[in-house]
Amino acid sequence: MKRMHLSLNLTEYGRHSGGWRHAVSDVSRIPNLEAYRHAVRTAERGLFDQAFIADTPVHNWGRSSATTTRIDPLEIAAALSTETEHIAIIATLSTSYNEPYDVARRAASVDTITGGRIGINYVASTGDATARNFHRARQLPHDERYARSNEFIEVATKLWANAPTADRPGSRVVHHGRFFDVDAVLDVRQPMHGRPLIVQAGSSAEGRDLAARWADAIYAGGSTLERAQEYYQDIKARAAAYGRDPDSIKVLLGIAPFLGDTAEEAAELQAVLDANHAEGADLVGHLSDLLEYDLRAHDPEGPLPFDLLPEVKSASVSQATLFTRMRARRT
Amino acid sequence: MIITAQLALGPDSTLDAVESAVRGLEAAGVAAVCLLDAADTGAASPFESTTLCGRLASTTSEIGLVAANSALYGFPYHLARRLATVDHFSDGRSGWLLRTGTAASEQSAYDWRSTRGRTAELHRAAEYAEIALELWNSWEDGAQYPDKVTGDYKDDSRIHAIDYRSLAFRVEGPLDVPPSPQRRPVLFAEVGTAEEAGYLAPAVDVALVPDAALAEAAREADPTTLVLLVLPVDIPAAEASRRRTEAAAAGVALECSTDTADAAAALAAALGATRAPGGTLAAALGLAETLTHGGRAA
Repeated sequence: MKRMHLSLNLTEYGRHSGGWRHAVSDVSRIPNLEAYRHAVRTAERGLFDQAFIADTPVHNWGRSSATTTRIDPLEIAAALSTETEHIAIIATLSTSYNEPYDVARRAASVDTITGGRIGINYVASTGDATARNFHRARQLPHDERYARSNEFIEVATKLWANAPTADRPGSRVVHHGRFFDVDAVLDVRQPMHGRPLIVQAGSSAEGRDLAARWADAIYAGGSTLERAQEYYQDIKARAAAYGRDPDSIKVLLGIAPFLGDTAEEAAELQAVLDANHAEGADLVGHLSDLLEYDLRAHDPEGPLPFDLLPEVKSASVSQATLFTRMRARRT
Repeated sequence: MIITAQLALGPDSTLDAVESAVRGLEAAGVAAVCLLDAADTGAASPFESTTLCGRLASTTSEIGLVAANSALYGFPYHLARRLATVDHFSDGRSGWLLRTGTAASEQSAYDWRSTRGRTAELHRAAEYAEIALELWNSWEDGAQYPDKVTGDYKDDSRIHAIDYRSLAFRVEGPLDVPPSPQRRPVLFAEVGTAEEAGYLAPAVDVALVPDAALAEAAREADPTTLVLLVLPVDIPAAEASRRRTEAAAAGVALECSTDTADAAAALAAALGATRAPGGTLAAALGLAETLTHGGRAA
C-alpha cells in the first residue's frame, strides 16, 4: 500500500490572499508567530508530513490584496520547533542570492535544532527588484540562474556530505566551478540524515530537470488530470535519465481546498475569501509582475497584448498554468 | 550592574545543554547572552548562532538573545531579515554581535575574500552595519496598518528604498519585514585594538573590551557607546568588580561555555546582575527606548 503524503503551504492566514481579512484572522500583530504555531500544530494533528514556507526576499510595492510580510524561513523553522514533534518545515532558499557555505551551516543548525525536521526548497528567484537587494543591477538570464542553482546544490550537498559528525571531524571540500569557488570545511555538524530533504517545484524544462536531478519530493501543479499525469511521467523519466530510481521522488500535487462541514459552507467560505481578494487590489500591477511585462499602458478592459509578452519561463507552477490558461481562453 | 554572557558553543553542546545554560543565565539576571559559534571559536559545533537564537526566542522570555553573524561575508539584506525575524519572535530581545574578522573556515568559503588587511575588513564591517541599520529603518512608524475593512495593510508612501551604493555593496531595499518591537537589534562588537575601537565603537551600541585602555579608546571613539569589560568566569566576584571599576566599564561580559554557564550565572548573581525593566534588550541595557539608526558615513 502506498502512503499519501500531506504538505501544508504555511502562511499566517492561509494561502488564499483574502484570508487575512476574514473575521477570525488576528492581524493585531504581523508577523504573527502565534498564527504560525496554530497552523503547524493543527497540521501535525492532521498527520501532515511537512509545512512549506514560500519566500521572496524583496518588498512588494503597490496595492495588492494579500499581506506580503516575509520573514526568514529558517528562523521560522527554528522558532516553531518547540511546538511540534513530527512535522517538518520546508524552507525556501534562493540559489541566486545566497552563498552555499552560509546556507549549509544555517540549515545544518536548524536540522539539529528540529531533530532532522528541515527540508529546503531551492528557488532560482525571478525579478530584477530582488537582484537589486543583492548587489546586482538585474537578475541573471534564465538559463544561467538554473546553471547556478545546480552548482549551488552541488556545493551545499558536498559540504554536508563532508561535514563533521559526533565521531569524526569534517573534511575539506574543494570546488572550483563557474559560479562558486569554495575550499572549506563545514564548521557546523552534519544533519541527522546526511543532508536536509530537498523539495522542489518547477514547471519549465530547467525546473523539471533540476527537480529530477536533486529532489526527494516535488510540489507539482496540474490544472487537469491529463496535465498532471504528463508532469508525473516526465519527472519520473527525467529522474531515470539521471540514473536515479524514479520511486525515490515523491510527486505532491497542489490543491487549494475550501473547508466546511457542508458543501454550502465551503462555497460560502470561498465566496467570502474571493470577495476580500479582489476588491481594490492593483490587479494589473500584480499581473505585470507575474508576466514580467508592464501592462499598465494597456487598456485594462482590452485583450492581453500576447505578442508583446516575453516568454515566461518561471519556476512557479502557478504562473505557467495561469499563462497557459490565458492563452487557451484567447483562442 | 549590567552583566552579559559570551556563551561559546562547542562540539559537545547539545540543545538541552544550551537551553539549560541560557535559562540559568536568564534566572541570574543576565541582560543578554551572545551565542558564539564555530566561526567565532574555531571549534565545530552543532549550531549556528542566528538560527539558535530563533529557537531560543521560543524558549526564553526575558534575556536578550545576541546572534553572532559575519559583518564581512554573506549579504546584509539577509542578515537584516534574519534578525528582524528574531526581534519579532522574541518581542524585542534581539542583538547582533558583528563578527568583523575572518575565521579559518571562512577564508575561502565565500565569494568575497579578505585580501586587503584589517583596515579594509573594518571598513567593510562598518558599511555592512550601516546597510542593515538603514534597512531596519526603511519603514516609518504606522506604515503597516492592517485594515480588514479597506483591504489596506501598508502605506508605500511611508516605506522607503535605501538605495545604498558603495564600492563593495549595492542594496536597493526597503526591507520586506515590518518594523519589529525594538525596531532593530542592539549592535555589539568585540574591540581588541585601538583601530578596532575607532571603526567599531561608533558603529555599535555595545563595545566589548578586554582591558581598561581599550575601554577608554572605545569611549573616546564614541562616548555614547556602552562599554562592557570581558572577563573570564573563574575569578572571584570582588576581583571582577574591581576590574570593572578600574576600566570604568558600564558592566561586564562573562566568557563561558555550556559547561561553565552555571559558574557564570553564580558570578553574575554575586555581582548583582540586573535587567532594567521594559522588556526589550535595549531597555535591559539602559539604552534609549527607541534605538537610533545613525547617519551615513559617506
